[in-house]
Amino acid sequence: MSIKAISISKTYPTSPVQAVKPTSIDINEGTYTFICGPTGSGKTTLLAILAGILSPSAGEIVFDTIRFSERDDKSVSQFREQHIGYVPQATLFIPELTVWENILSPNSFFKMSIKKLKSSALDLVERLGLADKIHMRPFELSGGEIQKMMMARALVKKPTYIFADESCSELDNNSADVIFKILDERKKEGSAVIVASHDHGTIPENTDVYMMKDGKITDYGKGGTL
Amino acid sequence: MFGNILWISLVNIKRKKSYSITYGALAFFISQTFFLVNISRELLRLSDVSAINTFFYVTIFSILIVSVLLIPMFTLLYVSMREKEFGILRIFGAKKSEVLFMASVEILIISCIGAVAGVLCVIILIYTNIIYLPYFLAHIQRFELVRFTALAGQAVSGVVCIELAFTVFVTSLRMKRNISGLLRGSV
Repeated sequence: MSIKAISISKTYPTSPVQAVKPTSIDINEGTYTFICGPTGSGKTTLLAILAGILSPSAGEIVFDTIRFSERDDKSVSQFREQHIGYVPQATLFIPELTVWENILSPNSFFKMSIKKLKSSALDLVERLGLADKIHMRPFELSGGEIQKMMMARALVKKPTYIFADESCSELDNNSADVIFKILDERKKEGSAVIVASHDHGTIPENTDVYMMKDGKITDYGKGGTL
Repeated sequence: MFGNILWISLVNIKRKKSYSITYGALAFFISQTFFLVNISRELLRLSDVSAINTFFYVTIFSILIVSVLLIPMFTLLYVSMREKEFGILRIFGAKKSEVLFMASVEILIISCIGAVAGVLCVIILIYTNIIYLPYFLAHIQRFELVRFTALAGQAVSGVVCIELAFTVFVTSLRMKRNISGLLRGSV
C-alpha cells in the first residue's frame, strides 16, 4: 500500500497565496517520513491533503490505484476511517466529554467493536501516562497531556498511516521519547508514520526527510544527512 | 457498529445535559398538546361541539406556533453549537451519514423519553383531576383502552418524527464546517 501525491497544490479561497506549491511525494507502508520547515511553510496543509482531509486545488492523490479525485466524499471518508490516524496541530477535542470519551468518540464509527477499541485505548493511555486522567475533562489537562490524548485518539484503531502534525512540540523529552517509541513500534508493524515538525533536532536517523519552505519542497534526504 | 454509535450517542446525551433537557422538554410539551388535540378530535362527535371546536382550534394554533418557531429555533441552536464537534468527527473519517445517524439516534432517544413522559403526564392529570380541564374531557372514560393507547402512540410518534426530521434536515445542511480553519485552530 502507498499514498502518492502527484503535483498537488493548494490555494485557499480566502487567500491569493498558494499554501502548497506543486509538490510530489511518495509514502509507503512501514516507512518513517518527516516533513520539516518553518512555521507557515505549508506543512499542515500538505499533511491534511495527504491524509485526504483537504482536497488539493490541483494535482492528484493516489492510494494504491485509487484516485481520490474520482471518488466521492463517502469513499474518501471510508478510506480515512479505515487507514488514517491523524494528530492535528490545533487542540481539537470535544470539551463536554472526558479524556477517555474523547479518545473513543471519533473512533466509534470505525468497524471495530467498542470492547476492542476500549482495550486498545487502555493500553495506549497507560503507556502515555494518562491512565489516572481519563475521567478528567480535556481543559483540565496541560498542553502536553492534550497532545498525548490526541495521539492516543489517532492510534486507537491501529491505522495504516499515522499523520502527526507538530505532535511533540509541547512535550518534554521523556514524553516525546515514549511517543516516538510507540510510533516506531507501529512502523515496525507495517504502518507508515508521517510527522510534520519545525524542529530539525527531533528527526531520527535513516528516515525520509522533506524540507519545506514557502509551500514548496526544497530538499529531500535521509535523517542525519540534511 | 450500531453498538458503537449507540454508545457514543448515550455518552453525548449524558454529557450534554443542557441540550438533552431542552430537547426532552420540548418533546414533553409538544406531545402533551398533540395528545390533547387527538383526544378533542375524538370527542368532536359529542353533543357540545362548539366548546370542543374552540379547544381544538386553540390547541392546533399552539402546536403550529411551537412547530413553526420553537422546534426549528432549538434545532438550529443545537446544530450550530455542535458544528465544531461534527467537524472533528469528520476530520477523523466519520462519514456524513454516520454523523447524521449519531445525531438522529440521540434525538430519537431524547424525544422518545420526553414525548412518552408528556403523554403519561396528561393521562395522570386527566384521571386524577389534578388540573382543571374543559368539562367535555370528563367523557374521556368513554374511550376504549386500545383507542386511547393509539391516540397516545400517535402523539409520541408525531413529536419524534418532527424533531427527527428537523434535526436531520438542519444537520445535513450545516455539515460543511470549515475544516482547514479547524485544523489550524482558528475556528
